[in-house]
Amino acid sequence: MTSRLYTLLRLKSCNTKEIKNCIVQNVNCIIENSKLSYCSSANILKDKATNINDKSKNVMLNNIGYEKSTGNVLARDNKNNIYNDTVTQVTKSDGNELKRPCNIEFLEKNIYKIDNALEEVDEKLPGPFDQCNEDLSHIGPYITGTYNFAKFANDSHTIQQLVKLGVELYKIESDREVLEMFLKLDFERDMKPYIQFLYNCGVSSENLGFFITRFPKIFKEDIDDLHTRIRYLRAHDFNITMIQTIVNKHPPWLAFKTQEIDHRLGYFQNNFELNGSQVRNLAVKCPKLITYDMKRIRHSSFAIKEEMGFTKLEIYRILHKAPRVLIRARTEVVKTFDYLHNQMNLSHDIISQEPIVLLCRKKRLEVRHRFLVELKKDQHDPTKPLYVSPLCLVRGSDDEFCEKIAKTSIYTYNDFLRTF
Amino acid sequence: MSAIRTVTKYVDDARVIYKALNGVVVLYKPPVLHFNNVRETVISNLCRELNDMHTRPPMKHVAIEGETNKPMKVVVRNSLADHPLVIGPRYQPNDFRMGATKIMQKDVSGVLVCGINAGNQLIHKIKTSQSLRFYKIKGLLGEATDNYFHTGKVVEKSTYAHVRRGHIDKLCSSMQSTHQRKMFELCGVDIQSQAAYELAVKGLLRPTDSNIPMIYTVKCVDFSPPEFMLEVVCTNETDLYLKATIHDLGLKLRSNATCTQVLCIQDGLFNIKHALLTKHWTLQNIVTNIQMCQNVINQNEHILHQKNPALIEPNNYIDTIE
Repeated sequence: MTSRLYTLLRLKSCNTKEIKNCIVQNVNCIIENSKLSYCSSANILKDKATNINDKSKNVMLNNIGYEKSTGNVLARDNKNNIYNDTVTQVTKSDGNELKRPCNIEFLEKNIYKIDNALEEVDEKLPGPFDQCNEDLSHIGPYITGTYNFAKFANDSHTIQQLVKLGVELYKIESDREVLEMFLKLDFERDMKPYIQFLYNCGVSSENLGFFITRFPKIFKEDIDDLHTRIRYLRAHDFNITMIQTIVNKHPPWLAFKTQEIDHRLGYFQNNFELNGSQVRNLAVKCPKLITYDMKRIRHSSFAIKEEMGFTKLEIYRILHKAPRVLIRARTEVVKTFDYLHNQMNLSHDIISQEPIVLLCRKKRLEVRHRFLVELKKDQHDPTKPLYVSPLCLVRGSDDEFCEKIAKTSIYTYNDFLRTF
Repeated sequence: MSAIRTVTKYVDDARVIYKALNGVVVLYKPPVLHFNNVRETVISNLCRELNDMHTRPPMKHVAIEGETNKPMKVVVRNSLADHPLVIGPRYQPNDFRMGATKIMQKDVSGVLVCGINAGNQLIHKIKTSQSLRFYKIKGLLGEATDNYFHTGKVVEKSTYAHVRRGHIDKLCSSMQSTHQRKMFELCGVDIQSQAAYELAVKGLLRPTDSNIPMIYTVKCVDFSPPEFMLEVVCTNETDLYLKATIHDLGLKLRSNATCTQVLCIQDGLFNIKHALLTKHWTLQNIVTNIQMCQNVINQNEHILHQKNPALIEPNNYIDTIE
């Protein structure tokens, strides 16, 4: 019975109210019926059912009448009547098992009503061999759970366009937030204005993929905010090529609010006593430093000032030539400096002249220095002949080092490397 | 040897080369790096270089398009779901397995025999054959540290002016004889039996238990106080065992000693000359090295199936492929 009801629900959605009532009645009846089947014999049930058939047909005719004439009010009245009847009969039969069969009348009535409703519906149920002339191309299986973009790549226009731009989607799919955002966005509507904006900012078309890979959350930012952030840079005398370099080099720059950027530029200006153009040069040379973790910058600047003991002028030189020293892990920088200063006996002044050596790994520096010591060519005093500058020591491949500085064969150097 | 002819062919297809990447490779492990870092670097180098070559083209995607009540189109195009930008590069670190005959700690440097992919089976056989390792160990007289290595905290200092070369030589030879006596105890037979005699006749033996360190030779090769250098031939050793040897030597010399370097110069058949330096951990060098190692193993089958407890003189001819 329930299955029939279900088909009815699907076929005639307009009669939902009526059907709801039907269900209520039916459920009541089913409960009663089940109780009854325990108590009374099956024969009685059958007899009663046949008697009721005649009565219910009348009701059914009535139903047809008002369905056709769209007499909703009538229908409701009639419904109410039926419903009231059930109620009264149920109340009467309450506690009295002998009178229970009355309920079966309603049960049977309803069946007829449903059958009738099915006949009434003009739409014929399609058979298994009927030809279907509808366009069913929009119907497909449900989308099940996924953790990457590959599942949607063949269907989603957005993702196809992103691949054409060269966005490395496999790198950003680990962030679930980004994954969900990208799937919701429409390329033409939501992404184009941003890409246009980036193009206007000077991000070249080859670099767009890199930009979006590094900063996929740009599509979440408000476009006016992004304009404000660029305007902020313009207002602080950054010229257009400078802004281009910043945006191309370090896409997450645009994620920072103007107040935040202002605060950080101010920090660098005050802390290292730079003037306006110096701050601008720093921002262009290493935009990552400006947006870097402030805590780590404070630690590194402490290490440079206090642990290594550079003076203000020397710190300025380091910032000017190798700002990445502040980004590199503090312990590593200190190790390299320790070797340069204490083992190689280089003064602060010489180190700050060529601060790029502070970015070199201690291991590489140590190996090359010891090789020169073996060859007795470790002459790090610029006033004497055969001077080897610390930058020459760490720069270039081993072949270049052997050829230009050590002036030995690369095989000798390789054998030397194997003795560590 | 000259009987083996090699056929050279230039390929740029990553699939062919990936299939060739099965075998044993000898690396030089620098100090400070742990074996896991070495493995990570080598595998990421391999992945990067393979991905730069011609890789597998994307799979085809068959799409049936159009409205269902009209004639539909069947379209075959490259599947975007298989595009390297969408699913990542073709070769990823997970595609490589790499094990070694000995997991080297940070302080140890030198020869590291590794197996790549199917080469791990060979590595397992070489490991169970308990091959000999040759070490050069540097010591520093006059101080002792808490971890027996110069990186640790100094816990003791003493003078070393009284130490002579002869003292170290004497101690080394006594250490060697003690270890050799232990060798017969560890070979797993009753020392009074005929079997023990027959084994002893054969010369030096391998221990049956792979957990007990066994030193065959110790000798001092360099002495310039406060530094000295020992050459040790051993098997089943651990880095701490070697460092502790130096420490004990220092105590026996009525002084203190710390280990400053543990350099493995030979592991079984593979010498440090054949080991690849850090800068040579590239695809081409690794493939060449795999070929060379395969030749060495082919000439010395005994390192894969150990039949005899006695040590065998290796077939020393190692043909390097230039």
